Amino acid sequence: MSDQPFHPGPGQPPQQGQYPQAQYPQPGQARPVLEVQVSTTFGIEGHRVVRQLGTCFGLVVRSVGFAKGFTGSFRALKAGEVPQYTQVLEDARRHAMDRMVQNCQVLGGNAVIGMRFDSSEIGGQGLTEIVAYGTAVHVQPLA
Amino acid sequence: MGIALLVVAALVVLFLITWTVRRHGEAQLPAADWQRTDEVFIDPTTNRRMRVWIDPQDGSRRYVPEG
Repeated sequence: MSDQPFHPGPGQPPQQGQYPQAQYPQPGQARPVLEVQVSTTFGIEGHRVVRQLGTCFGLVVRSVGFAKGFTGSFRALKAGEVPQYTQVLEDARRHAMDRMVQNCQVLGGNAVIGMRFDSSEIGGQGLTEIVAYGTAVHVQPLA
Repeated sequence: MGIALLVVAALVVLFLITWTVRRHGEAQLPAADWQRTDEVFIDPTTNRRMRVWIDPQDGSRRYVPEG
């Protein structure tokens, strides 16, 4: 993510009017005010840390569910990806990151640096714990 | 025999109820006041390109498919 003017990037770009009621960033427009930048490094490129606000984390425990656990257990007999579990873990990581971002906002930060994921299994019954953690900071663009 | 059928029926109902899972934070289209970010990724289960939008009401992250 950068402060450069918005470009759709690779792949099929959205067409004007595809989201008729949504906002389209104009070239040179600043990023959303409430966006919390998340980085695995210990800094945000083009920005400086002006305040360090403490650690923040987001934790979620998800179950694969009865139906997908049942079908997933059969799919696991075959070598390769088990999509049912991939979906659960994908959602769990999104959820954990969202909660971490929310806690960063509660601290008054606009960025999380040094972000990491950690995971574990609980109870041996298909319950997965995902935690996203990092350091909440307030950053300002470099002049 | 009746109890066995009842158990099977209950399992079938439970299966159908738990089969459809609402994905976390997803929406098919962004709301009018959502703000678009540069954060994009590929959903590994659907291979859809997803973009993160911000809901200014509470600063929460929303995931909207593109293309």
